[in-house]
Amino acid sequence: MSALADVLGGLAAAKHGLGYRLAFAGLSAPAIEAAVATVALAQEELGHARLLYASELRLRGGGGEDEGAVGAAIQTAPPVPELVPAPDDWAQVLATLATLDTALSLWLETLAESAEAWLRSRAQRMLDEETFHRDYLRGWLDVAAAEPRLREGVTAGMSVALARYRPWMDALARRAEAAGIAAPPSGARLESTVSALVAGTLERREGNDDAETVS
Amino acid sequence: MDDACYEVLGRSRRGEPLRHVGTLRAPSDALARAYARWLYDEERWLDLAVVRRVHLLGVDGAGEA
Amino acid sequence: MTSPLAERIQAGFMVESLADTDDAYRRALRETLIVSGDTEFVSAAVLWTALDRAPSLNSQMSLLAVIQDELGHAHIAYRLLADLGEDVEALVYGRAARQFKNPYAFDFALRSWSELAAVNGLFDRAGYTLLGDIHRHTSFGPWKRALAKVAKEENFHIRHGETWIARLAADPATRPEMQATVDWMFPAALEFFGLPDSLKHRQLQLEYRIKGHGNDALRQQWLATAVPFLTSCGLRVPAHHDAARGEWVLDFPFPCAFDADVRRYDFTRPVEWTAVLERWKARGPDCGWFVDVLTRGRGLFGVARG
Repeated sequence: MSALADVLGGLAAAKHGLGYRLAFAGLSAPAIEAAVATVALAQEELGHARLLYASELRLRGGGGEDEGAVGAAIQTAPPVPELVPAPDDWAQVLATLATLDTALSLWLETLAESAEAWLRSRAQRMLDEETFHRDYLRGWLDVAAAEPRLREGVTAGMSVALARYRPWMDALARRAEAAGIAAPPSGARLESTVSALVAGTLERREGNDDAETVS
Repeated sequence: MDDACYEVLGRSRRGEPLRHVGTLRAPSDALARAYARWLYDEERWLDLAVVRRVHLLGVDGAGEA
Repeated sequence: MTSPLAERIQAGFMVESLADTDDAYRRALRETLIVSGDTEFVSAAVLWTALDRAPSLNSQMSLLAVIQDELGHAHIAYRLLADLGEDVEALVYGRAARQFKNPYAFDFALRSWSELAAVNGLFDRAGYTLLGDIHRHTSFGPWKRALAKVAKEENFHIRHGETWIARLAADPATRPEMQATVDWMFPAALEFFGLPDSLKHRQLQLEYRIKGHGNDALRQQWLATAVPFLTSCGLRVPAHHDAARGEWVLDFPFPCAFDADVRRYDFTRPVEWTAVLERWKARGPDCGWFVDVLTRGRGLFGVARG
């Protein structure tokens, strides 16, 4: 159980870092609608962090049933700030979402198959919210596809982020294997998932009518 | 960035009409849907929808002069 | 002389579109909407400065919910202006910081969680008083309907502020700081209501029923809930109710001098409203920073600020 608790703790710290950075970066979004959406996303990510911290606590035998009580005891600053650096601009916000949020969703999909029913339902709850995060990200990647400066910034940001998150994914995967989880998501799987996301949005060629952009 | 104006319509409870709750601007239908969800989360909507303003067609002479 | 439109409005006419308005109505409405939009927009940045002061993850999440709401409220005002033909791109992303019409108190970053509590408990209460009056009385249909959401959410912000003010005032360790916060933010909140009615010239906002009550009445409405609440927390408040006069009375000269460096009102130095207007015009220390944070993202699309 302690190996699985380590995995949940690692995911909680990452969600915490992501939510924290989105909270600060959200105010500088390029439109008020996007600022509202990003701040809402930040709250949801912090809510996921709280749920994962509570889940880790439960596995370590320390209660964790009351999410509210867990949240009241957690400090606001994320425990591993260097895991999610502060985005300098909107391109980096999108790059962080495209990489880290994708990575975390891959993990939630794995947890949604867990042998523990309580963990399966918590993971599914978070995945249901991540659907909307994914739609939001895809919408912005479609915008970036048509804006060269933004596209360039997102592409460069993703490259840097993937270099950071690949080894992180691999380390977490090793811990998950020790916990008996079969085929946990690796750095390579993150890379191929992000590539597929980008191929369908950011790198969409001219003349592809899949995206419903406003003409 | 080319944005379009969207009207947001919502129904709070069964039996109630679908009413106009606000507007927003977005560069695509996908982002319009995403924005509506978070801009108008003051209620748990039974139904929430967005429609591009250009698709609302006024009918002349229908009522008050 | 009252205009034909003002007469119709006084008889109950509701304005639903540009076609229903005249020049004076549009001017009065525009001015009121810009103040509202700018106030909500900049308030999001003020609250944002307290994110790292939140005592826990839960309280940080609650603060984010408030920030989300304020951005949404700003969005409402700016969207209504766009529908009235305003160039909102230029308004939001093209003005210099000092041209934003938020209250002076929103030119200051928050230094503590007690200041955050007072923003919600006192400043949001002022906002709720002003916007609640508009929601109940305005002749402008689109804004009246949009303010239902705003009223609901501002109420939540006030309750959030009250919970924290009560908690911080009840704890001997945090009470002195909470009192020091109220000492400057109570008079600062009074300034949200603007000049006294006696100094206002023709009040188009009232003639056209953009709002329902004048500044003095709204200030009284605010005092009627703020003073009892703060007193119930055991905090010192420089105001009391005069039963004989049937009104709330301030126990200090208002307006009086304010030292922005130490955030202190000097009750021994009454000033004229002309001095207050000069202070407001000079802006507070964080005005430029707030507008920069809120608008820098738009530069991505080639829009530069004036």
